[in-house]
Amino acid sequence: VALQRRAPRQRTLVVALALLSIVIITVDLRSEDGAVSALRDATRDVFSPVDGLVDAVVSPVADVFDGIFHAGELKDENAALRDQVAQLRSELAQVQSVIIENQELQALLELQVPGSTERVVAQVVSGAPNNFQSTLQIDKGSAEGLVAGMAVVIGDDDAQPVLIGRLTEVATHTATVRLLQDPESRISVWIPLYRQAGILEGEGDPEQLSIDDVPVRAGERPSVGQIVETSGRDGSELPPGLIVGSISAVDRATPGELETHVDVRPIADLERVTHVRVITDYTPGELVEQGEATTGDTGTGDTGTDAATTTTTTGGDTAPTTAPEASG
Amino acid sequence: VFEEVRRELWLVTLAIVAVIVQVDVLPQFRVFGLIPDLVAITVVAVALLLGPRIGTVYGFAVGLLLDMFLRPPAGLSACAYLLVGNAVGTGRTMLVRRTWWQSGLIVAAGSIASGAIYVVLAVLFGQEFLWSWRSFRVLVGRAVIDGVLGLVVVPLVTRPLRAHADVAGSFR
Repeated sequence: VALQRRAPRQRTLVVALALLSIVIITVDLRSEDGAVSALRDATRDVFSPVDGLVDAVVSPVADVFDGIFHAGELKDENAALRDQVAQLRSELAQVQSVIIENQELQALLELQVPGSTERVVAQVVSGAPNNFQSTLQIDKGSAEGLVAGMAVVIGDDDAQPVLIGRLTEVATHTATVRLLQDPESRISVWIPLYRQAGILEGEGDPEQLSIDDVPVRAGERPSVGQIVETSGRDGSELPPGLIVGSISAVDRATPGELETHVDVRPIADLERVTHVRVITDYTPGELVEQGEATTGDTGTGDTGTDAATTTTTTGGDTAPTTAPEASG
Repeated sequence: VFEEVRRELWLVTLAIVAVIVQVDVLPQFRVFGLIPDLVAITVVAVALLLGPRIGTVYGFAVGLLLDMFLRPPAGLSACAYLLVGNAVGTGRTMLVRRTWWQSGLIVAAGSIASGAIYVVLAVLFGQEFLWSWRSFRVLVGRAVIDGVLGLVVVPLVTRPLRAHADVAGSFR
């Protein structure tokens, strides 16, 4: 009898809490800066000291765990990296003179370059808590001047920065970085050697990103190994010239095709990042205007370009589907 | 009353610890690239021991706390875990005899159910990209890992609560 009496109350409780969940979901979706968002920020701020403490304790153990479970991979990776270092050393010698020349030209044109932007260094305190999103939590927030949308990179100040994602939610002392691999990530990119732009999308796989609808030119297709950078064009929130990855695969050519699909492998190991830099002083559109006013093309610095671009919006970022080409 | 307060304090502590471990620790200990769902394991453990009412409330509360660290909208995990907490708490009456492997099997089922509810709700509320084979593979893989973890975690979680255990089949 007691069971029978309590069953309806049980159902009422479940229905009430389920409805409350739906209300919370709806409220959170409808107002970006509403009560739920404020509660989220407050919770993250309260937990942020614990995050840092736990990270300090757990990281060494995690490294050992990682070493045990990925010993074979690490050995292969080490061998591959040694070969790569030898190759890069020889290339570096050639590149250095080009860098100096480039810096002199940029100084002459008064261009703002990604390496010269102001950055806030932050520590990664945790990764994504579940398998359905690809994010990182960092230990800096609005108190340090961070704002949602800012680019998050790795690499030294002297080196060309490597993009890993951008800020999505910023609390007072913590912020969330949406990684490139996140299925909601959309980045306007540019393939400098192929001189075409597109939208880079995450697929949930840390080792594979993709660009759909890359225009195919007569007799020329993007090729494996070409570097992909942010384009910074048409109102993109990200500065141009941030390295994203290299092309790992291009769809097989079919007769009459106008566009192709490209897979991109990120340069950064997105799941093992420990420290990041947030670019804080980039104003969208600033560099594009300067570039267009002076050279007509920010991606390559080519002169005498056509500006017949078609802009596509995909929710996260915008990019020209046809980038200006050098007319020679 | 004192016993009840003590039980509730333990549940609050359990919820906070589970979320901290889920957010700060487990992402660094991926197994085959997958993050175990400790929160789901604790929901199943609490529901198994304390029944559907407490399982439901605990599932909602711990889910909502976890949602504060996940991509918006908040409420998806809360809804998923409360339904699992209720289902496990109600379904435990069907267990005629307890065996050592049952908790692992129930945790695996709870994990896959909570994940599936989360994905379906997320898709309904605009995250269509989660409707994919990858999500399916993640759910199945994670359920296996959670099942194995459950064999260890469920006894650990329930030991301090045994004094408050609800008689199977009755509601408090």
